Amino acid sequence: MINTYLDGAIKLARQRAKVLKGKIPNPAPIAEFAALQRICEQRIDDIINLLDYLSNDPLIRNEDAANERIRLMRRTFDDLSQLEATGIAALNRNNEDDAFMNKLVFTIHREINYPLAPPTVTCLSQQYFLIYPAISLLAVPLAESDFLLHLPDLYHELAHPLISTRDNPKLESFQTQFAAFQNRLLDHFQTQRATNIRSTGPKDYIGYVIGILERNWIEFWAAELFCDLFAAYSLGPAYGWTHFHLTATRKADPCEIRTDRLMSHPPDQARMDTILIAYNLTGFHTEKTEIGQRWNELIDTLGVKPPSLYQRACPQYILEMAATHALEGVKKMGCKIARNDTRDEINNLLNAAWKQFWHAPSQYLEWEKNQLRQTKRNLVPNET
Amino acid sequence: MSDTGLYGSIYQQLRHYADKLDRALVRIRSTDTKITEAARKEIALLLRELCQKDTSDPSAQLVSLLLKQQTTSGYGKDASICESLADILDKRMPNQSEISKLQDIATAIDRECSDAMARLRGRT
Repeated sequence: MINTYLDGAIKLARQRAKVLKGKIPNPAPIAEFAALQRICEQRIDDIINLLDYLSNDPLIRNEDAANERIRLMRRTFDDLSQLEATGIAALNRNNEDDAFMNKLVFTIHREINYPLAPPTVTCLSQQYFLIYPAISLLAVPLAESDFLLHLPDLYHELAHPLISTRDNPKLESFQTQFAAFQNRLLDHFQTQRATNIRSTGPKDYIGYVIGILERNWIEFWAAELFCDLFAAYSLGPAYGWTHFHLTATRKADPCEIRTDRLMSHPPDQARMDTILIAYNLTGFHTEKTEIGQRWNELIDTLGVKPPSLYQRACPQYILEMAATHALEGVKKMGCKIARNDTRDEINNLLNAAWKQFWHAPSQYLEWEKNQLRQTKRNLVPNET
Repeated sequence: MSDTGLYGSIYQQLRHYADKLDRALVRIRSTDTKITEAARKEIALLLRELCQKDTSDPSAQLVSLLLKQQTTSGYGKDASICESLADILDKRMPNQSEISKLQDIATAIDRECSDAMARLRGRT
């Protein structure tokens, strides 16, 4: 009975996949979209192949395999709708902002020796900066190509696929360091559990908290910190300033630890502490002190204090471990580590922007406008 | 720095194991022994990846922890289930009760996949 329904639903999805394929513009609207165009076409072909397997394979059509068939079908439908809402939507618009952002990310990719092909960029994000690793699409908000101070977050987004891409030998050393860090985290929480069992405190509650924190770290925080660290190492101090700015303008309590639900990101305090450790390791001592001082002022102004669970959630030695493992991973992967004497166009531009912002805030906007005009002229000569 | 990169990345890692396990579970019911043997070995290998301590594969680490946390029966339970199932599959074809345990694992990974997708779409 259920097979009759599944047959019909799969047929509908196959038709939708074909329609979407027809909506991929050809030729690509701009040269930089050619990779995304290829990826979307390939993904739709993969989806159609999977739908054909779900439709026709005698083993999967067997009633005994209905569970597997439904699970595979749902995930394939999810892929299709995700592709429609992201990659194909991006391909159906283009403007000079997209062209500039693509050139910019391409230049960053070259400057830092990024080990994967650069993602395609669209200025279509309804949130903040984000990346869809499965289709290598990076989205930024509409106006982002006219400002510089948030752009360091591109480096953070570029790091996500370095963790999730499978079977690529260029990423092995980074992923090995990431997994080693995860293993140390598991050891840490195992020790915490053993200590809790011997303790005289509220064992059940602490046991529950340890479980939440362990899951936060393994599922979310380890990856987020590694992405922060990749950005701090490959770009330098501008990333720390951007984190300061984001916390000052968008976040609530930088020290908050929730135990009633999972938290996708580590507390901003822990992120900043880790970024500052990274600057210590790469010789940005002056910048580290300066960012640290401004950060402390911000925390004082916000009037927040770390809750009692903070030390349990983010012990300093774990943050230090993350910083050393990530540095090893970035180095061994062959990416360029930013230093005080780095002379690369986009690296220098983004770091200079923050220097200029602090040095002469009232003149900053004019400075930024001129710099962007010049950079756009360099990167997209035909458009300006 | 939104959550999308993170959830997309988690989804991608889970998805690899979810599809691999489901497709092998379909093939293990075949009447062709060549196909079932290959599926048996594939599942055993996959389970070994998931219960390997000090793995250098971040995806295996992630899926292993999520499986572990989905049981209410305590720390390490799923790692030992995966290990004992892998031991069995290394030696012989699974019986019905073992297949049903394998399906529980596939359901658990699928649940995590759909949670990650829901978060990716901003639904949590």
